[in-house]
Amino acid sequence: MKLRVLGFFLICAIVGFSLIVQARITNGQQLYVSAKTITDYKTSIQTEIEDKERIEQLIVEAEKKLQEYEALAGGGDSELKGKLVEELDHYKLISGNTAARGEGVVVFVDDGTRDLFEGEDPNTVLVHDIDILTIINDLNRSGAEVLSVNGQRLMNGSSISCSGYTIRINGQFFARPFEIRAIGDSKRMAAALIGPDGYGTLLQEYGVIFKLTIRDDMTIARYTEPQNYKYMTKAKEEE
Amino acid sequence: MDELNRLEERMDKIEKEKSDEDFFLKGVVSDLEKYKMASGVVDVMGPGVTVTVDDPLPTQGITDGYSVIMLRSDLLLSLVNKMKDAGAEAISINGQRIISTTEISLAGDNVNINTVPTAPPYIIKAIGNPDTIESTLTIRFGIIEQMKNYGLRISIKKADRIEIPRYSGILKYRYAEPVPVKE
Repeated sequence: MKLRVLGFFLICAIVGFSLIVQARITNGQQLYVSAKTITDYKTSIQTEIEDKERIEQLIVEAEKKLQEYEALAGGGDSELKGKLVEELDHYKLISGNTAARGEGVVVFVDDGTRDLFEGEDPNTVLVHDIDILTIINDLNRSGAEVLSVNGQRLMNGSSISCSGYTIRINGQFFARPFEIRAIGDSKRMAAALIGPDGYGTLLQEYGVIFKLTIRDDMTIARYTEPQNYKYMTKAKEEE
Repeated sequence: MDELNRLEERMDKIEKEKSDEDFFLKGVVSDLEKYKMASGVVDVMGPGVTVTVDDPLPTQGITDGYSVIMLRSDLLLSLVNKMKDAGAEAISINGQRIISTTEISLAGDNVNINTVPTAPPYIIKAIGNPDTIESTLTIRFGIIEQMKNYGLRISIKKADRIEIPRYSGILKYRYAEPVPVKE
Protein backbone atom coordinates (compact mmCIF):
# COMPACT_ATOMS: atom_id res chain seq x y z
CA MET A 1 0.00 0.00 0.00
CA LYS A 2 2.71 2.40 1.04
CA LEU A 3 4.69 1.47 -2.04
CA ARG A 4 1.72 2.26 -4.25
CA VAL A 5 1.27 5.74 -2.71
CA LEU A 6 4.94 6.43 -3.12
CA GLY A 7 4.83 5.29 -6.73
CA PHE A 8 1.81 7.45 -7.41
CA PHE A 9 3.53 10.42 -5.89
CA LEU A 10 6.62 9.80 -7.99
CA ILE A 11 4.64 9.64 -11.23
CA CYS A 12 2.81 12.85 -10.32
CA ALA A 13 6.13 14.53 -9.62
CA ILE A 14 7.60 13.45 -12.95
CA VAL A 15 4.53 14.50 -14.94
CA GLY A 16 4.39 17.83 -13.13
CA PHE A 17 8.05 18.48 -13.62
CA SER A 18 7.94 17.74 -17.32
CA LEU A 19 4.99 20.08 -17.70
CA ILE A 20 7.01 22.84 -16.06
CA VAL A 21 9.95 22.15 -18.34
CA GLN A 22 7.65 22.28 -21.36
CA ALA A 23 6.19 25.57 -20.26
CA ARG A 24 9.62 27.03 -19.62
CA ILE A 25 11.19 26.11 -22.92
CA THR A 26 8.32 27.30 -25.05
CA ASN A 27 8.69 30.61 -23.28
CA GLY A 28 4.98 31.23 -23.14
CA GLN A 29 4.74 31.26 -26.91
CA GLN A 30 2.34 29.27 -28.93
CA LEU A 31 3.71 26.02 -30.17
CA TYR A 32 3.04 26.87 -33.75
CA VAL A 33 5.79 26.62 -36.32
CA SER A 34 4.94 28.47 -39.46
CA ALA A 35 6.49 27.79 -42.84
CA LYS A 36 8.18 31.14 -42.55
CA THR A 37 10.02 30.15 -39.39
CA ILE A 38 11.35 27.10 -41.17
CA THR A 39 12.60 29.10 -44.15
CA ASP A 40 14.15 31.58 -41.75
CA TYR A 41 16.11 28.79 -40.14
CA LYS A 42 17.07 27.52 -43.55
CA THR A 43 18.43 30.91 -44.53
CA SER A 44 20.28 31.22 -41.24
CA ILE A 45 21.97 27.90 -41.89
CA GLN A 46 22.75 29.07 -45.41
CA THR A 47 24.34 32.18 -43.94
CA GLU A 48 26.57 30.07 -41.74
CA ILE A 49 27.57 27.87 -44.65
CA GLU A 50 28.43 30.84 -46.83
CA ASP A 51 30.33 32.48 -44.04
CA LYS A 52 32.28 29.29 -43.55
CA GLU A 53 33.14 29.17 -47.23
CA ARG A 54 34.34 32.74 -47.16
CA ILE A 55 36.46 32.07 -44.12
CA GLU A 56 37.95 29.05 -45.85
CA GLN A 57 38.89 31.32 -48.72
CA LEU A 58 40.49 33.68 -46.27
CA ILE A 59 42.46 30.79 -44.83
CA VAL A 60 43.77 29.92 -48.29
CA GLU A 61 44.79 33.54 -48.79
CA ALA A 62 46.40 33.71 -45.38
CA GLU A 63 48.35 30.52 -46.06
CA LYS A 64 49.64 31.94 -49.31
CA LYS A 65 50.69 35.12 -47.57
CA LEU A 66 52.35 33.22 -44.79
CA GLN A 67 54.40 31.22 -47.24
CA GLU A 68 55.50 34.42 -48.90
CA TYR A 69 56.41 35.87 -45.55
CA GLU A 70 58.38 32.86 -44.55
CA ALA A 71 60.26 32.89 -47.81
CA LEU A 72 60.94 36.58 -47.44
CA ALA A 73 61.91 36.30 -43.80
CA GLY A 74 64.69 33.97 -44.83
CA GLY A 75 65.92 36.42 -47.43
CA GLY A 76 66.95 40.02 -47.10
CA ASP A 77 65.17 42.59 -45.03
CA SER A 78 64.41 44.88 -47.92
CA GLU A 79 62.11 42.39 -49.65
CA LEU A 80 60.02 41.96 -46.55
CA LYS A 81 59.93 45.69 -46.16
CA GLY A 82 58.57 46.09 -49.66
CA LYS A 83 55.90 43.50 -49.01
CA LEU A 84 54.84 45.12 -45.77
CA VAL A 85 54.67 48.56 -47.30
CA GLU A 86 52.50 47.14 -50.08
CA GLU A 87 50.21 45.66 -47.46
CA LEU A 88 50.14 48.96 -45.64
CA ASP A 89 49.07 50.81 -48.78
CA HIS A 90 46.29 48.29 -49.35
CA TYR A 91 44.79 48.76 -45.91
CA LYS A 92 45.29 52.49 -46.03
CA LEU A 93 43.12 52.58 -49.14
CA ILE A 94 40.44 50.40 -47.60
CA SER A 95 40.34 52.29 -44.34
CA GLY A 96 40.03 55.58 -46.19
CA ASN A 97 43.39 57.03 -45.28
CA THR A 98 44.51 57.59 -48.86
CA ALA A 99 42.79 59.45 -51.63
CA ALA A 100 41.41 57.07 -54.23
CA ARG A 101 40.87 57.37 -57.94
CA GLY A 102 39.09 55.35 -60.58
CA GLU A 103 35.96 55.24 -62.72
CA GLY A 104 32.63 55.86 -61.11
CA VAL A 105 29.54 58.00 -60.87
CA VAL A 106 28.74 61.41 -59.48
CA VAL A 107 25.23 61.84 -58.13
CA PHE A 108 23.88 65.32 -57.66
CA VAL A 109 20.80 65.75 -55.46
CA ASP A 110 19.08 69.01 -54.67
CA ASP A 111 15.72 70.20 -53.37
CA GLY A 112 13.03 70.41 -56.02
CA THR A 113 12.05 73.80 -57.42
CA ARG A 114 8.61 72.95 -58.82
CA ASP A 115 5.48 74.56 -57.44
CA LEU A 116 3.64 72.61 -54.80
CA PHE A 117 0.14 71.32 -55.31
CA GLU A 118 -2.59 72.73 -53.17
CA GLY A 119 -2.03 71.50 -49.63
CA GLU A 120 0.98 69.44 -50.53
CA ASP A 121 3.58 68.68 -47.88
CA PRO A 122 6.79 70.58 -48.75
CA ASN A 123 8.76 67.58 -47.49
CA THR A 124 8.05 65.79 -50.75
CA VAL A 125 10.39 68.04 -52.71
CA LEU A 126 13.12 68.25 -50.07
CA VAL A 127 16.13 65.99 -49.77
CA HIS A 128 16.31 64.07 -46.51
CA ASP A 129 19.00 62.10 -44.77
CA ILE A 130 17.15 58.90 -45.56
CA ASP A 131 17.33 59.72 -49.28
CA ILE A 132 21.10 60.07 -49.12
CA LEU A 133 21.31 56.92 -47.01
CA THR A 134 19.23 54.94 -49.50
CA ILE A 135 21.25 56.18 -52.46
CA ILE A 136 24.43 55.12 -50.71
CA ASN A 137 22.96 51.74 -49.84
CA ASP A 138 21.94 51.26 -53.47
CA LEU A 139 25.40 52.24 -54.64
CA ASN A 140 26.96 49.76 -52.21
CA ARG A 141 24.59 47.14 -53.47
CA SER A 142 25.82 47.61 -56.99
CA GLY A 143 29.44 47.31 -56.06
CA ALA A 144 30.70 50.74 -55.06
CA GLU A 145 34.15 50.60 -53.53
CA VAL A 146 34.89 54.09 -52.31
CA LEU A 147 32.24 56.69 -51.54
CA SER A 148 32.07 60.29 -50.49
CA VAL A 149 29.34 62.83 -49.84
CA ASN A 150 30.23 66.47 -50.45
CA GLY A 151 33.88 65.52 -50.32
CA GLN A 152 33.56 63.70 -47.03
CA ARG A 153 34.90 60.17 -47.34
CA LEU A 154 32.55 57.56 -45.97
CA MET A 155 34.17 55.33 -43.39
CA ASN A 156 33.04 52.24 -41.52
CA GLY A 157 31.53 54.36 -38.80
CA SER A 158 30.14 57.18 -40.91
CA SER A 159 26.56 58.05 -40.19
CA ILE A 160 24.33 60.32 -42.19
CA SER A 161 21.83 62.07 -40.05
CA CYS A 162 19.44 64.91 -40.25
CA SER A 163 20.14 67.86 -38.02
CA GLY A 164 17.50 70.37 -38.89
CA TYR A 165 18.30 72.18 -42.12
CA THR A 166 21.60 70.42 -42.56
CA ILE A 167 22.87 66.88 -42.75
CA ARG A 168 25.63 65.68 -40.48
CA ILE A 169 28.25 63.35 -41.92
CA ASN A 170 31.33 62.28 -39.96
CA GLY A 171 30.42 64.93 -37.42
CA GLN A 172 30.52 67.74 -39.98
CA PHE A 173 27.58 69.67 -41.30
CA PHE A 174 26.54 69.92 -44.92
CA ALA A 175 23.66 71.68 -46.59
CA ARG A 176 22.07 71.12 -49.96
CA PRO A 177 22.99 70.47 -52.75
CA PHE A 178 24.55 67.10 -52.14
CA GLU A 179 27.16 65.53 -54.33
CA ILE A 180 27.74 61.83 -53.85
CA ARG A 181 30.74 60.27 -55.51
CA ALA A 182 31.26 56.56 -55.85
CA ILE A 183 34.12 54.64 -57.41
CA GLY A 184 33.22 51.25 -58.81
CA ASP A 185 31.52 49.67 -61.79
CA SER A 186 29.99 52.87 -63.17
CA LYS A 187 27.49 51.29 -65.55
CA ARG A 188 26.10 48.98 -62.92
CA MET A 189 25.79 51.75 -60.35
CA ALA A 190 24.13 54.10 -62.83
CA ALA A 191 21.67 51.42 -63.93
CA ALA A 192 20.75 50.64 -60.32
CA LEU A 193 19.84 54.25 -59.60
CA ILE A 194 18.25 55.50 -62.82
CA GLY A 195 16.58 52.27 -63.87
CA PRO A 196 12.77 52.17 -63.95
CA ASP A 197 12.62 50.97 -60.35
CA GLY A 198 15.66 52.91 -59.22
CA TYR A 199 15.65 55.32 -56.33
CA GLY A 200 16.80 58.15 -58.57
CA THR A 201 13.76 57.75 -60.77
CA LEU A 202 11.55 57.78 -57.70
CA LEU A 203 13.11 60.99 -56.44
CA GLN A 204 12.66 62.61 -59.84
CA GLU A 205 9.00 61.67 -59.81
CA TYR A 206 8.67 63.46 -56.49
CA GLY A 207 10.20 66.52 -58.07
CA VAL A 208 13.55 66.35 -56.33
CA ILE A 209 16.46 67.30 -58.57
CA PHE A 210 18.54 64.21 -59.23
CA LYS A 211 21.37 64.10 -61.74
CA LEU A 212 23.80 61.32 -62.40
CA THR A 213 27.02 61.59 -64.37
CA ILE A 214 29.38 58.80 -65.29
CA ARG A 215 33.04 59.70 -65.02
CA ASP A 216 35.96 57.71 -66.39
CA ASP A 217 38.37 59.06 -63.88
CA MET A 218 37.82 60.90 -60.67
CA THR A 219 39.35 61.24 -57.26
CA ILE A 220 37.86 60.92 -53.81
CA ALA A 221 39.67 62.65 -50.99
CA ARG A 222 40.94 60.83 -47.95
CA TYR A 223 39.45 60.98 -44.49
CA THR A 224 41.25 63.71 -42.66
CA GLU A 225 40.18 63.44 -39.05
CA PRO A 226 42.28 61.45 -36.63
CA GLN A 227 40.77 58.11 -35.80
CA ASN A 228 40.83 57.09 -32.20
CA TYR A 229 38.90 54.25 -30.76
CA LYS A 230 37.84 54.70 -27.20
CA TYR A 231 35.85 51.57 -26.66
CA MET A 232 36.94 48.81 -28.93
CA THR A 233 40.11 46.84 -28.58
CA LYS A 234 41.47 43.98 -30.56
CA ALA A 235 39.97 40.70 -29.38
CA LYS A 236 42.67 38.23 -28.46
CA GLU A 237 42.37 34.56 -27.91
CA GLU A 238 42.54 33.81 -24.24
CA GLU A 239 45.53 31.72 -23.38
CA MET B 1 38.02 30.06 -37.96
CA ASP B 2 40.56 28.83 -35.45
CA GLU B 3 42.84 27.90 -38.29
CA LEU B 4 42.66 31.42 -39.64
CA ASN B 5 43.47 32.87 -36.27
CA ARG B 6 46.43 30.56 -35.94
CA LEU B 7 47.77 31.52 -39.34
CA GLU B 8 47.37 35.18 -38.61
CA GLU B 9 49.08 34.77 -35.29
CA ARG B 10 52.03 33.23 -37.05
CA MET B 11 52.11 36.09 -39.50
CA ASP B 12 52.00 38.57 -36.67
CA LYS B 13 54.85 36.75 -35.03
CA ILE B 14 57.03 36.96 -38.11
CA GLU B 15 56.19 40.63 -38.40
CA LYS B 16 57.04 41.21 -34.75
CA GLU B 17 60.29 39.30 -34.89
CA LYS B 18 61.41 41.25 -37.90
CA SER B 19 60.25 44.52 -36.52
CA ASP B 20 62.31 44.06 -33.40
CA GLU B 21 65.39 44.04 -35.57
CA ASP B 22 64.56 47.12 -37.55
CA PHE B 23 63.30 50.50 -36.51
CA PHE B 24 61.65 51.31 -39.82
CA LEU B 25 59.77 48.03 -39.91
CA LYS B 26 58.51 48.63 -36.41
CA GLY B 27 56.78 51.77 -37.58
CA VAL B 28 55.27 50.02 -40.58
CA VAL B 29 53.92 47.16 -38.51
CA SER B 30 52.28 49.39 -35.94
CA ASP B 31 50.74 51.48 -38.71
CA LEU B 32 49.49 48.35 -40.37
CA GLU B 33 47.80 47.31 -37.15
CA LYS B 34 46.06 50.66 -36.94
CA TYR B 35 44.77 50.65 -40.50
CA LYS B 36 43.63 47.05 -40.25
CA MET B 37 41.58 48.02 -37.24
CA ALA B 38 40.05 50.89 -39.18
CA SER B 39 39.30 48.62 -42.15
CA GLY B 40 37.34 46.21 -40.00
CA VAL B 41 39.45 43.13 -40.64
CA VAL B 42 40.19 42.34 -36.99
CA ASP B 43 37.95 40.80 -34.38
CA VAL B 44 37.24 43.44 -31.77
CA MET B 45 35.70 43.58 -28.34
CA GLY B 46 34.51 46.23 -25.93
CA PRO B 47 31.46 47.57 -24.09
CA GLY B 48 28.29 48.07 -26.08
CA VAL B 49 24.74 46.99 -26.74
CA THR B 50 23.04 44.02 -28.33
CA VAL B 51 19.73 44.59 -30.06
CA THR B 52 17.59 41.63 -31.03
CA VAL B 53 14.89 42.18 -33.62
CA ASP B 54 12.39 39.48 -34.41
CA ASP B 55 9.22 39.28 -36.43
CA PRO B 56 5.85 39.53 -34.72
CA LEU B 57 4.61 36.33 -33.11
CA PRO B 58 3.18 34.06 -35.74
CA THR B 59 -0.57 33.91 -35.58
CA GLN B 60 -2.54 30.83 -36.21
CA GLY B 61 -4.61 30.69 -39.34
CA ILE B 62 -3.95 32.27 -42.67
CA THR B 63 -1.03 34.67 -42.84
CA ASP B 64 0.59 36.16 -45.88
CA GLY B 65 3.85 34.56 -44.86
CA TYR B 66 5.91 37.70 -45.29
CA SER B 67 8.49 38.75 -42.80
CA VAL B 68 7.91 42.30 -41.60
CA ILE B 69 11.51 43.07 -40.85
CA MET B 70 12.69 41.70 -44.16
CA LEU B 71 10.22 43.70 -46.18
CA ARG B 72 11.19 46.78 -44.23
CA SER B 73 14.92 46.22 -44.32
CA ASP B 74 15.38 49.97 -44.52
CA LEU B 75 14.50 49.95 -40.83
CA LEU B 76 17.63 47.93 -40.22
CA LEU B 77 19.58 50.38 -42.34
CA SER B 78 18.41 53.33 -40.33
CA LEU B 79 18.91 51.47 -37.05
CA VAL B 80 22.55 50.94 -38.00
CA ASN B 81 22.81 54.56 -39.09
CA LYS B 82 21.49 55.72 -35.73
CA MET B 83 23.99 53.50 -33.94
CA LYS B 84 26.82 55.03 -35.93
CA ASP B 85 25.46 58.44 -35.11
CA ALA B 86 25.60 57.55 -31.42
CA GLY B 87 29.29 56.85 -31.83
CA ALA B 88 29.37 53.11 -32.32
CA GLU B 89 32.84 52.05 -33.35
CA ALA B 90 32.07 48.59 -34.66
CA ILE B 91 28.72 47.09 -35.64
CA SER B 92 27.66 43.67 -36.81
CA ILE B 93 24.35 42.16 -37.88
CA ASN B 94 24.05 38.41 -37.50
CA GLY B 95 27.81 38.12 -37.51
CA GLN B 96 28.28 40.32 -40.57
CA ARG B 97 30.60 43.21 -39.80
CA ILE B 98 29.31 46.52 -41.08
CA ILE B 99 32.00 48.29 -43.08
CA SER B 100 31.79 51.32 -45.34
CA THR B 101 30.67 49.31 -48.37
CA THR B 102 28.18 47.08 -46.57
CA GLU B 103 24.74 46.96 -48.15
CA ILE B 104 21.46 45.92 -46.57
CA SER B 105 19.15 44.94 -49.37
CA LEU B 106 16.12 42.84 -49.95
CA ALA B 107 16.95 40.28 -52.61
CA GLY B 108 14.22 37.80 -53.36
CA ASP B 109 13.36 35.99 -50.17
CA ASN B 110 16.36 37.14 -48.19
CA VAL B 111 17.95 40.26 -46.89
CA ASN B 112 21.50 40.40 -48.16
CA ILE B 113 24.14 41.88 -45.92
CA ASN B 114 27.67 41.85 -47.30
CA THR B 115 26.17 39.69 -50.10
CA VAL B 116 25.40 36.97 -47.55
CA PRO B 117 21.70 36.10 -47.18
CA THR B 118 20.38 36.54 -43.66
CA ALA B 119 17.10 35.88 -41.89
CA PRO B 120 15.40 36.92 -38.67
CA PRO B 121 15.92 37.04 -35.78
CA TYR B 122 18.42 39.82 -36.35
CA ILE B 123 21.03 40.25 -33.68
CA ILE B 124 22.72 43.60 -34.01
CA LYS B 125 25.79 44.25 -31.92
CA ALA B 126 27.47 47.59 -31.49
CA ILE B 127 30.58 48.58 -29.59
CA GLY B 128 30.58 52.07 -28.16
CA ASN B 129 29.25 53.95 -25.17
CA PRO B 130 26.38 51.64 -24.08
CA ASP B 131 24.33 54.38 -22.41
CA THR B 132 24.54 56.75 -25.37
CA ILE B 133 23.63 54.10 -27.90
CA GLU B 134 20.81 52.73 -25.80
CA SER B 135 19.19 56.08 -25.21
CA THR B 136 19.66 57.19 -28.80
CA LEU B 137 17.70 54.18 -29.96
CA THR B 138 15.01 54.25 -27.32
CA ILE B 139 14.23 57.95 -27.53
CA ARG B 140 10.50 58.67 -27.79
CA PHE B 141 9.27 58.38 -31.38
CA GLY B 142 12.72 57.04 -32.14
CA ILE B 143 13.72 54.13 -34.27
CA ILE B 144 12.84 51.42 -31.74
CA GLU B 145 9.37 52.83 -31.23
CA GLN B 146 8.93 53.03 -34.97
CA MET B 147 9.90 49.40 -35.30
CA LYS B 148 7.65 48.36 -32.45
CA ASN B 149 4.75 49.96 -34.27
CA TYR B 150 5.25 47.36 -36.96
CA GLY B 151 4.74 44.70 -34.30
CA LEU B 152 8.38 43.70 -34.21
CA ARG B 153 9.73 42.19 -31.03
CA ILE B 154 12.81 44.05 -29.89
CA SER B 155 15.07 43.73 -26.91
CA ILE B 156 18.09 45.84 -26.04
CA LYS B 157 20.79 44.66 -23.72
CA LYS B 158 23.78 46.60 -22.49
CA ALA B 159 26.94 44.66 -21.82
CA ASP B 160 30.46 45.35 -20.64
CA ARG B 161 31.97 43.02 -23.14
CA ILE B 162 30.76 42.39 -26.65
CA GLU B 163 32.73 40.64 -29.32
CA ILE B 164 32.30 41.58 -32.94
CA PRO B 165 33.81 39.43 -35.67
CA ARG B 166 35.92 40.68 -38.54
CA TYR B 167 34.67 41.31 -42.04
CA SER B 168 34.76 37.88 -43.57
CA GLY B 169 34.94 38.72 -47.25
CA ILE B 170 38.06 39.37 -49.25
CA LEU B 171 38.66 43.06 -49.65
CA LYS B 172 40.02 43.70 -53.07
CA TYR B 173 39.25 46.82 -55.06
CA ARG B 174 39.00 46.44 -58.80
CA TYR B 175 38.22 50.02 -59.68
CA ALA B 176 39.64 52.24 -57.00
CA GLU B 177 43.34 52.76 -56.74
CA PRO B 178 45.29 54.91 -54.31
CA VAL B 179 46.45 58.34 -55.35
CA PRO B 180 50.12 58.82 -54.56
CA VAL B 181 50.70 61.63 -52.10
CA LYS B 182 52.48 64.55 -53.70
CA GLU B 183 55.24 66.07 -51.70
